[in-house]
Amino acid sequence: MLKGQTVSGLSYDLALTSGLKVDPGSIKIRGGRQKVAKADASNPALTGRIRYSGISGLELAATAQYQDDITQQSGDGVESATLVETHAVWNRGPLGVKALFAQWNIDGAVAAAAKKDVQSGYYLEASYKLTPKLGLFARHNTWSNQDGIDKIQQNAGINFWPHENVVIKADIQQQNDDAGNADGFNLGIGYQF
Amino acid sequence: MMRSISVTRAALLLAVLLGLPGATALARGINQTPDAFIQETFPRPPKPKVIWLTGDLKKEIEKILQHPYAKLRVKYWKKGDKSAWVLDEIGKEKPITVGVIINDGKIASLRVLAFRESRGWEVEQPFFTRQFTQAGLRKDNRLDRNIDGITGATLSVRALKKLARMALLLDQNIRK
Repeated sequence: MLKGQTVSGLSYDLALTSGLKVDPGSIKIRGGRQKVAKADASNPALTGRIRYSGISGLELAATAQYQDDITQQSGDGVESATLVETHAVWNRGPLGVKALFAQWNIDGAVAAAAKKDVQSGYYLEASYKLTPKLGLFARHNTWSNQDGIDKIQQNAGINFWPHENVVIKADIQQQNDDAGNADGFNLGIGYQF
Repeated sequence: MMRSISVTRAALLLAVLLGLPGATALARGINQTPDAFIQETFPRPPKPKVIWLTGDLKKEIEKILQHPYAKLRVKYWKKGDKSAWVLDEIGKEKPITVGVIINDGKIASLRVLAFRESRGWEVEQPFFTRQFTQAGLRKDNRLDRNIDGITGATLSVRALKKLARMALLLDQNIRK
């Protein structure tokens, strides 16, 4: 891990990690995460981030990750993978806005045949703090893990902070058919320590 | 064979990146000693005084900090309407030392004297600390203005806001 920053608010991070080990059959990227203690690091991933936070309330960042074999198995038709991500966060007083875009590009004939060689998504979120203890948010998510299947999910909810380190969350959710049509609500509690 | 080539390639790439001239890394730790801060604030520093934290004052401070406060008294320097305070508060894991100058009940300047956390370094920068200039305290012991936060530095921002409120409250009490 290597990192640094300038007085102008620009910072960078570089990391070499054990990388993903994606199943070449399903090519589900999320399923490629490993337990660190048992992680296969035959094909490590290199990740870099540039971040600007030189204005109060603003963050702009871009990240790239490269792994020369995302399955860590040669000859399976799912080869190198690159992730690019960028996001912006703007908080001014009680108002907050976030936007994030990310895309994976996976090389290999099997990944292309499965139409999973490009996987991407984005979300847009707006939030407003009614009081220091009560906030509202709305979020729109769109993502695709396979060409032709576009998942959409929308959430709107409320957060309540009874203590500065505790949040109680509730939101309603709406999904399209591609995302699983799991309309409903979520309840949660968070504690940071 | 394939795997060994991959590891070698990644290691070489990292080595090249490590060799980058890189951005100017700020030294984490002490920016200014408390003595130098006081000397800069008062060219002829007055003798330090102490305020004892008893009764309601202690309760108000703990309400601001949202945790018990172990100290029994706080040292300060005062000349005319100007007072100076050197206070500590933990951001996430380590104490952040802040110097606050208050003039006639308003913050004249706030400076991070020592920052020891691994994240949240932005709170040291003038673009953030100058938001506190001329801030005062409302009756409910909150700052009379909004302080815009920094994404990824929530706990450090929170610590500085608490110390600003605490310094203003202490200043109110020494002027009673």
